Amino acid sequence: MQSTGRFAALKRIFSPDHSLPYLGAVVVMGLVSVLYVYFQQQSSQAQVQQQAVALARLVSEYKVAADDGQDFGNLERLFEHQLMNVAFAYGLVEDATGQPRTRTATRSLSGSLPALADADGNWLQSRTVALPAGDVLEFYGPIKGNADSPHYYRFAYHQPKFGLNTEDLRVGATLGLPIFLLVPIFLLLHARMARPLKDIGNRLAEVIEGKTRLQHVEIAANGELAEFIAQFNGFVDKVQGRISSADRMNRKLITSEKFLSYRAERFESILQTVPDGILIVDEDLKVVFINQHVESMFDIGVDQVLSSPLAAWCTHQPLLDFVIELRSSGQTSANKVVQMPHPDGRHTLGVSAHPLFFSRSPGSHTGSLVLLRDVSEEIAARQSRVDFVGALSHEIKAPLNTIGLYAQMLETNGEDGEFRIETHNVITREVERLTRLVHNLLSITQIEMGTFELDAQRVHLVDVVRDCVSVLDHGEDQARIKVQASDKITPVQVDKELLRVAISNLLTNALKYSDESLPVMVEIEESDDAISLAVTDQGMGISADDQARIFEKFNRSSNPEAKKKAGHGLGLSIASEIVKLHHGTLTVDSEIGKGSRFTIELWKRTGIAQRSI
Amino acid sequence: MSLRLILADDEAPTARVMSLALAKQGFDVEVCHDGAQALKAILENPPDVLVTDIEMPVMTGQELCEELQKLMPDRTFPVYVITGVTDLVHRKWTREIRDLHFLEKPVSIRRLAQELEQRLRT
Repeated sequence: MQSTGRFAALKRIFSPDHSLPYLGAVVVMGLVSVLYVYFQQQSSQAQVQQQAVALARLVSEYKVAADDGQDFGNLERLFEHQLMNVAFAYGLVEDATGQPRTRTATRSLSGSLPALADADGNWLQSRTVALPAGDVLEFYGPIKGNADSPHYYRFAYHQPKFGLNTEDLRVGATLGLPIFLLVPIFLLLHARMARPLKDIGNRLAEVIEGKTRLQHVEIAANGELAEFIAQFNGFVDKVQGRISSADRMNRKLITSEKFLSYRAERFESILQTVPDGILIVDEDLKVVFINQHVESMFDIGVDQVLSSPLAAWCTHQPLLDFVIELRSSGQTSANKVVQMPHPDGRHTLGVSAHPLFFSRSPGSHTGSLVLLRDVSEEIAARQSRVDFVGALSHEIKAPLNTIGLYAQMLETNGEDGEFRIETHNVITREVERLTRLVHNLLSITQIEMGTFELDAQRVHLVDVVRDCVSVLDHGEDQARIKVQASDKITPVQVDKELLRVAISNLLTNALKYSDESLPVMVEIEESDDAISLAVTDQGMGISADDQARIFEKFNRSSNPEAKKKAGHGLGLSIASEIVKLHHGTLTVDSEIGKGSRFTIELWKRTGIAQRSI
Repeated sequence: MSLRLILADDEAPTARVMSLALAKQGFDVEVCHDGAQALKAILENPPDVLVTDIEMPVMTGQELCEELQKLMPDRTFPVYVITGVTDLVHRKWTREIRDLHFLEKPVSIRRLAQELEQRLRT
């Protein structure tokens, strides 16, 4: 890892990102080289100049004795000696006609030299002479001592060349390498110095990307960087403090938002689940909320009515009057329940209003909660109870009254034998009537409490029916009942006494609610699965509404004609419960003015339950 | 001269024993078996007192009283209604009918006779 890290550092140092410093180094090296070459050139030129002056001085001091070729031998040796100097090109002595007397040249200069154009001066002169081998700097002047026959000396040095030679390259390389090496060293140093900053940068990047959370930078450093890191860590502390407080706030907000939305949803669902219709209006009677029951009651959608005044959509005048009355009375306490017709026209609504207050300022009234409840059932149930109590009271007190009256008469009329017999008969019959009533009441109580035990026996239904008929009070009644049954009908397993109560109740009803002149039919039939017993009369019949509630306890017909007949609203309820105990069904089929048919159906195979439900 | 009393009751034994008892107390009793019959008798010849049961076929005791109130608003004879129920709910209808009294079952003939004597003779 360490080495990889180092390599990575090296890679970074030599990465193309750092080409600019390297380029800069190259430019600096170029500049240095050019300057070096330039100064080198200047110095060699100056050196050539100095050598030329020195040589010229030597040559010009040279004594020429006569036109004797021997006399130039020393000069020639002097020039030859000069050949040691690499810059020396040639040296010669010419007479006035330009004929060379001596000639000493480097091997490269083999050709002829241009003549001196203006060799008439008395001092050292110089000129640049272009030769095939390159330019040379020629110095010339007269040789003193022989004024009649002047001779001229000429010697030349190679012009110092511009450009790099091997020497220059070596020097350049020696100078350039350190400069070039400075770049990676500088980069290394820079990288080393910048590493903590880079670390901080990387950590910030991770924080921004969400990989880590903001934390202290723990980097060994000194000087300004240490100060910077300390400041940075202080900043981190501050930011962390802000972040955690923001987090706390955020969590709080989320929690409270969740809680609020949960509460709102819960309240909404509670308000929707409540079985009553709920209508909430503000002080201006504009709708704030209605639940689904109100929607279906008035056949409206909540979106249609929200924020709109009640009067704008409510066509149900009694409700409208009720709510308007609320406002005019400045309702501040709960109203009692007011009954009004249900919008469906069949049921009754119980409507109550409850003032709403702000929980913070209990004095300020913000609107009203209106509860709408279908109270038809309650009213019917209450009426049923009232009717039942009345009927039961009558059923009990009527025989008691008769018995009481006869008892009072016995006191004064006891001597009369016929009256005593009559009294005996009446009392016996009334006691039987009371007994039957009490038996019915006890039966239904026991059935309802689930404490009834069936005493199952195999019996022929027709025998049970005949039994029922035989105990009827009046002979006329007995004669009205016509039984139709085949002898081959399978006996059923039933509680004979119970079933007798059920059939008796059906028979009594059929006789009671049809004309005395009309027969009551009892038909017993057998199918593959069941045995059915139907009691049919041609009486007043039962309306569909009454049929729906006919087997309910304490329910009595709404037909005024039927109400005139004595009854306690228990007979059919008991019959139905008894048939249910036998896992059978009791059904009614009736038409107003034509008569009714009650059918008990008992399953053959299942028989009856051995125990009560 | 004996007081004339119309008794309306559909239960034959009750009607019979009451008429016997009231006759013994010196009343001239006419028995009717339903409200309609009683109304007809009253309209033909108003009695000194009407004693009626409530639960009766054809026309109930309540209907009979309501008809009387309509047809004879100025009647002078009292009406006694025999009832088995004591609950006020069942007696609401009687508010509109004047000079109406209740006889709770079981009826005491002696007390009825005493009350009638007191009310009618004075």
